[in-house]
Amino acid sequence: MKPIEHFTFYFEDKFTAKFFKDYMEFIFKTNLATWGNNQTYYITKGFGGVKQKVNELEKSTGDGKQNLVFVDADKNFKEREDFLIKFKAEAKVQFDYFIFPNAKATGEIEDVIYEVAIKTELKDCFSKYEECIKNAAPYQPDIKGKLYAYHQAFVEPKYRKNLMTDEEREYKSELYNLDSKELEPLKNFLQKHLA
Amino acid sequence: MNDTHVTSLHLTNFKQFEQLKVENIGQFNLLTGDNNGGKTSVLESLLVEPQWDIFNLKLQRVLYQYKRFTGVKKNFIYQYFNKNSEKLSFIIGVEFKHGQATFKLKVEDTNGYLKNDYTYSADSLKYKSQVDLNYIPFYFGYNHSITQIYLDFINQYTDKDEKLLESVSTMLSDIKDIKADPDTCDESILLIGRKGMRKRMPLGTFGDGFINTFRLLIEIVHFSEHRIMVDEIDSGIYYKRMKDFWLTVLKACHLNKVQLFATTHNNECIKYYQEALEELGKEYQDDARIINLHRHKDNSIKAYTSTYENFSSALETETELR
Repeated sequence: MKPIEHFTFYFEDKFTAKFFKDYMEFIFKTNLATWGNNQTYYITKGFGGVKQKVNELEKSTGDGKQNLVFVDADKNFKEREDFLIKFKAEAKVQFDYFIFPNAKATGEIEDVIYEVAIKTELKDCFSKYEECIKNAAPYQPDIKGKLYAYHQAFVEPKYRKNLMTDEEREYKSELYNLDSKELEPLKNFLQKHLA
Repeated sequence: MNDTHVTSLHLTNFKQFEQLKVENIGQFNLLTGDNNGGKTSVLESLLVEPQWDIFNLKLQRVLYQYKRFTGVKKNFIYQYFNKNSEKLSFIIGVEFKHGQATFKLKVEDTNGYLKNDYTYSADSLKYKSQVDLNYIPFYFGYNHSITQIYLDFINQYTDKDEKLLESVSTMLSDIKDIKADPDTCDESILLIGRKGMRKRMPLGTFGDGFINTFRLLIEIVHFSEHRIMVDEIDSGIYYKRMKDFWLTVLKACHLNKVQLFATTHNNECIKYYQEALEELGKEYQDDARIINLHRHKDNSIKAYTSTYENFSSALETETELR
């Protein structure tokens, strides 16, 4: 694997950055202790925030590093891809990109993480719960809420803080199948650049 | 921005820069970057003036300060310009809102004086030269000869006196007048009169932060419609006063149509610069920049200019701007 210092990563939020760190450590069997130091990655606060990172993209390229941008497709994959292609051409910056959940479908990173969550019994409970509240509440829990609740259910209360931060959440193999085929597009993308 | 404000700067062979382009310069510019990254050199390049005599006068004063500060006696001109050769030459290209100018200079050290081969070409440029040194170097600090500067720059002019009072009133709302007292000890001191108070108080009783800001305001008023360069602008300003400091300085620059170039190493200085601009609104934000000088792995230095929108977003996402 190429040293992590050869890259600058751009994520929409800290949640994605933490999952990405854990996933990289799993895939490449390496300890990313320096993750986050010396601006290994930047948070863009939403996909549009990458437009505010032109200086960082240029600096990184000037330093001989490679820029990798990660965004969610949300409701329209094509629209998100077009946005990145247009931005890249207009700002004359260099980067490659990966669009969650799987480089082709609509959705977001939480969709794929929930998909690879292995405790199916608990996930069934959520399905039943969603079915149950259909007529009792105006809104269904969103994917982020479900994922947080799933994770929280396996953290002993004595280790819980009032609200677990994105950086504190560990994506361990007891809870998530990080080798799942659902994550293969991401794995292939990373291997193309990092391996 | 007015016609005499610089909008871009292009340096060739100036001090440590082989080439440096600084684009999209605003009225308020905060320069950041690593030590020895060229921030001070950018400030010094902005001393450039169309008339050689004036530029020379400024360079001589900076060289004199450099000589005193460093203690270098032999070949200090070459040391200052970071060059070894017996002859050196550099080019400073400056663009303004309506026109551009290129200043080419070959320098020879003749016993510590600059012998020049100076050429200046300008395209439709309305340029107002400024004879006085519009640069506050870090190693001299703000307090140096504050009374003398007041006497030289402000005291004789009623319009400047009024503008200084207006600017100072943003941090001392009840200020009434400023007087120089020539009879105190061997050096005159400044006295500040306040509304409702019979006795004027010496400036020295107001604290370092106030004095530093006051010193800067004198410069801003004096260099009306021109530019000033301030090295380590936040030195001596307590962090809790930093936002008020920026509000005062930015308002004074706006009022006096002064273009500000200042350097900092301090994250708090950057943070409060942004917060002050947020409070001052769009008119100020549109003219505010942070210019980061970044040394790349190949040792070249490049300038990255961030607009208010860019650096606000960077601060929000904990992106390093220093």
